[in-house]
Order: sequence, then C-alpha cells, then structure tokens
Amino acid sequence: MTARAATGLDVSPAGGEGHRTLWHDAARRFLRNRLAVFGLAIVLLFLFLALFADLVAPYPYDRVYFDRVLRFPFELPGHPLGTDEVGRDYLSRLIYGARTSMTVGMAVQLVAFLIGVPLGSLAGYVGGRTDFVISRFIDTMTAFPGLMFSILIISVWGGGITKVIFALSITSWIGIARLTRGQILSLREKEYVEAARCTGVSQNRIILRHLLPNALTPILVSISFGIPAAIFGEAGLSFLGIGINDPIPSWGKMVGVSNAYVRVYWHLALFPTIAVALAMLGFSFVGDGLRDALDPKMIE
Amino acid sequence: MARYILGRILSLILVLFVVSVVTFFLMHQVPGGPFDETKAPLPPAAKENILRKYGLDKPIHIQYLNYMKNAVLHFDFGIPYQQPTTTVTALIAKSWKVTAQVGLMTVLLAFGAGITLGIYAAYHQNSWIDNITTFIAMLGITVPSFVVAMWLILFFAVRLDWLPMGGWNASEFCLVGSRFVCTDWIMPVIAYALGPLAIIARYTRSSVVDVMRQDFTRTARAKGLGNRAIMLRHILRNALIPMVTALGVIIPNLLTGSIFIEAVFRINGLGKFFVTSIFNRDYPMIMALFLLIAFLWSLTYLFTDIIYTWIDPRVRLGAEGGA
Repeated sequence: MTARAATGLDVSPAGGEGHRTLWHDAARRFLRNRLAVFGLAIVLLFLFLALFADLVAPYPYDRVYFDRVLRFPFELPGHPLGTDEVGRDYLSRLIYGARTSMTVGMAVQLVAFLIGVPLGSLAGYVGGRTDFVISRFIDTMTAFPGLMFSILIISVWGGGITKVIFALSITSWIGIARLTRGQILSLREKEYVEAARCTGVSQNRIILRHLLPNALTPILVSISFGIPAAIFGEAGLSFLGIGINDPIPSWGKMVGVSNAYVRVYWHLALFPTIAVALAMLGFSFVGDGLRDALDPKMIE
Repeated sequence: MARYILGRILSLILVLFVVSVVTFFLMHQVPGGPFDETKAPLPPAAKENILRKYGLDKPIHIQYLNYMKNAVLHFDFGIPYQQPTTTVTALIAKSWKVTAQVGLMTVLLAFGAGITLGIYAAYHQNSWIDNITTFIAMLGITVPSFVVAMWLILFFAVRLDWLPMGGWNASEFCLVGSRFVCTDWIMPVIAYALGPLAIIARYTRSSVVDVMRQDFTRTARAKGLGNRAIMLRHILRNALIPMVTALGVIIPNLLTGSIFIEAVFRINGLGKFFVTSIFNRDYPMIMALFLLIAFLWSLTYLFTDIIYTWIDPRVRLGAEGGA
C-alpha cells in the first residue's frame, strides 16, 4: 500500500492530493519514535527560549548587580539559578544563551546548505572536468582540520557571532556537497530521469523537479546532524575564550569561565553544561528519528 | 597500489602546501603584531632592528619562502615570540610528551573498554549491559568532552574530593612505594576517551552482531568449535576490520580534542600551548603547531586507507583496481 511513496516513481505532475506521501508516512513514523519526540520537545523548547528570550528571561542578559556577585541558586529570591562572577542573573544568561546556540547552529547549516547543495549537484550532474575540479577541492578541504581552522580564523579576525558563523561555515558545507554529489550521481541514472529526459524535459527542470527532491531526504538528515555539530563548534570556541564576545551570553563561554570558580561556585559549571548536553542530545535524537523515519525501507 | 599511494602522498603534499600558505597569510593579517607598541612605544630605529631580526621587514611572499625553506630543510620553525630564548622546535619537543601520554592512555582505554563493551553487548543483546553500552555510546558521541570533563570535576573533585581537579603528573613511574600518585590522570583520560570509546563500542557491537549471523560462524558452531575459539578465530577477526575506519575518525578528533582537555584540566601540553600562542599572537608557534596537526591529520587518512586494503583484500583502491 505504501509502495507508491517508496519507489519515488511519481509520474503524475502534481503528485495529487489526498494520497499518502512519503512525508506523511515519515511524520507518522517519527511521532511513534519516543526518543525522537523527546528530542523534538527539547529542540522546540530551546527554539522557543531563543525566539522569546526577551519575554521569558527575568532580567536582561547584561544587567549587572554589583551587590549580588557569585550568589548560589535560591540564595536570593529573584535569582533561582544564582548569579555569575560579575553579578548577572544566571537563568537569564542561560536563556539568552539558547539564542546564541540556536542562531549559530541554524545559520551555519543554512550556509552549508546554500553552498553544499548547488556545488554538489553541479559536480554530480555536469560531471567531467567540472566534477573533477569540485571533487578535488572537496577532497582537499576534507583533509583540513576543521575546528583548528575555525580557531585560526577567529584568532585572526576576532570573535563575535557573525565571525563564529563564518569560521564554522568554512568547513561545514563539505559533507553536504559530497553527499549531494553522490546522490545526484546515482539518481541521474534512474529510469524515471531517463524517461523525463526522453520526453524533452529541460535540464533545469530535471535537476529541480526530479533529482533534488529525491536527494533531499539524506541532505535533511545530514543537516539535522550538522546543527549540533555547529552548536558544539560555537561552544568549543567560546569555551576556549575566543568565540562569542562579552556581554553576549554563550553556554560554552559560561562553562569556560566557570572553570576558574568550580571548586566553590558549582552552579556556574553545572547549568550551562546541562544546557549544552541537552541541546546536543535533542538535535541528535531528532536526527536519528528523521533518518529512520525517512528511510523508505523502514516501512512496516 | 603503488600508484595509488604515490597519488595520495602527492595530494597530501598539496594539502600541506595549501594549509601552510593559508595559515601563513592569515597569521600576518592578525590585527596588532607581536611587537605591538600600545603600551611602550619603541624608537623607530629599535623597531626597525627588531623587525629585521625576525625578518618581518621583507615582503610577505619572501617571508613565506624563507620560513618554508627553514622548516622543510632544517626543521627550524623559527623563534617563539613568547619565549625568545628558545626555538619553536625545542618548545614543541618539551611539551609534546605530555600530550602524547594523554593521547596514548586515551587510545588504550578507548579501544580496550570500547571493544570489550561492544563484544559483550553483542553477545548479550538487550541485556542491561547492552542498554548501558548504548547509553554510554549515545552520551559519548553527542556530549562534548569538555562538558563531560566538567561533570567529572564537579562530582569526583568538588563533591567527593577523591581526585585532584587538574594537572598531569608527567613522571614515568606512578608508584611511590605502593602508592599510586598519578590520580590526576584518571579524569582527563576518562573525559577524553569517552567519545572514541563510544564510537568503538558502537562499531564493534554492530559488526560483531553482523558477523555472528554469517554462514561461516554457523558452520564453525556446527562442527563443534568452542565459544572462545569461534569468538577469537572467526568473529573478532572479521568484525574488527571496520574498526580501521573508526580509527580514521578517532585519531584526527583526538588531535584537536586535546586542546579542550588540556584547557579544562590545566595540563601543560601542546594543546595548551596552542591556545596561549593564539592569545599571544605568536605566529611561529601557531604556524608550527598548525602544520604539525595538519600533517598528522592527513597522514592518518592516508594510513587508514592503506591499512584497510591490507587487512581486507576485497577492497581495491582506485577506480581501476590499482594493484
């Protein structure tokens, strides 16, 4: 009954309303996966905090109270998670930290998508010398130590959110480009593409309507794993003290700073590490769930 | 085969060339040179002297060529700005041992525990050890090492006060009398090893499960071989082949991961040097460390590919078969 969705042999031009699509099936399978739903809940929570930080957070992230430096959780009534080393509300900084993490995670993957997919499809579809040049370029970039390179770039051009996104984007598109190229290469030989070509469908239309939609699912999965990788990259850079600049909060930076206070002020280390771990786990669960849900072979 | 390896070595050299050029030119873009005069302005003549001493008065491409000539021919990476009395090579030689020690212990733990857990989990599918292994694997793969490191510190150093918060006892003998003095090794190695351990355990479990279902395993069992013999001679031998790929993922990550572990636990190794060099804008030091890592990184990729063909004769490198 689901063979239609699985084969991708959808010849009718508009797909038709009402029948069960791959996406419909995938959503059902995804929602039946408890871990994936749990991950999705975490991701949605962090996205909500990121979007509405101004409304949710009890204090602005940069409001300093000189008389409330380094207070423990619940020590003062207004600061449930305590205050940091210069007297800022820790809960507010954690909430705004979600904004930093989510922005970097999504932006880096957006750039990766915008560079990787066109480059990969070009290499895969055109082939020949274009493919050779692009593939060699991709191979060379793979041999680059990505995180080290980001550190290098940040150390040269300084920190800040746009520069962090830029530094992490330099190597983030490689995986997607390679993946897209492989997908297009294999899809190009499929019968339905040949059929489309025989009936005189233009090249652009073949790429946009026949190849890319079918290549999209693995790319989507790759992106859902790329977001936590980018979040990790930002947290790592900021942890070393070279990523996001003060006073913008970043979980990684909070962990890095807390290292000096951890013997006494344990809360400074505990909360941001939990936030980082939850964000990474959430996105990874969603990625796992998507991969399983979008795999047509998994149909029950 | 020889042609393939030659091609790979050529591309390795190309990568290193690109890395060195990019790093070199980026380094010279850093705002504020190492002889920044904001605090104590130098007389022009003195400044000129210093710039000439370090060769900074020449055009940048000449500087690059000089640098590469010294680096490749004499293994001379210049003089670190932060400690002008020694050489970069000497500084690296002094601190690589600690990093190598941390790395070696980590690899041993990751492979030892990872393979053991993976095999056990495969043999006892859906038992509690299997579930714990899956949980550890998930944690190790997703949670960054510095987060795990902070948790270990919070629990074992702050809360229980069992282990020291940081440092690295670099002495070769950890026993004074009968007392184990290298307790400061425990947390860094665990935090560092958890990621690779997770990957190894996951790989091992799935490939052991895979091999257990093969016909030759069933044949071995049918002809009456003992469990141990089957496991060692038939299953492990075949199951460990994919581990080489895992190696290719793990070693490069270990190279950069050390930066974080050394920062958390205040270990004076190469990783910590790298960070201080960046803060001090120590071009020669950053350049040398970056080249070193890029070199090891590409070498790992090359070796894992070669080892892979050597272990598993079914894999043929290159499109035409090569060998």
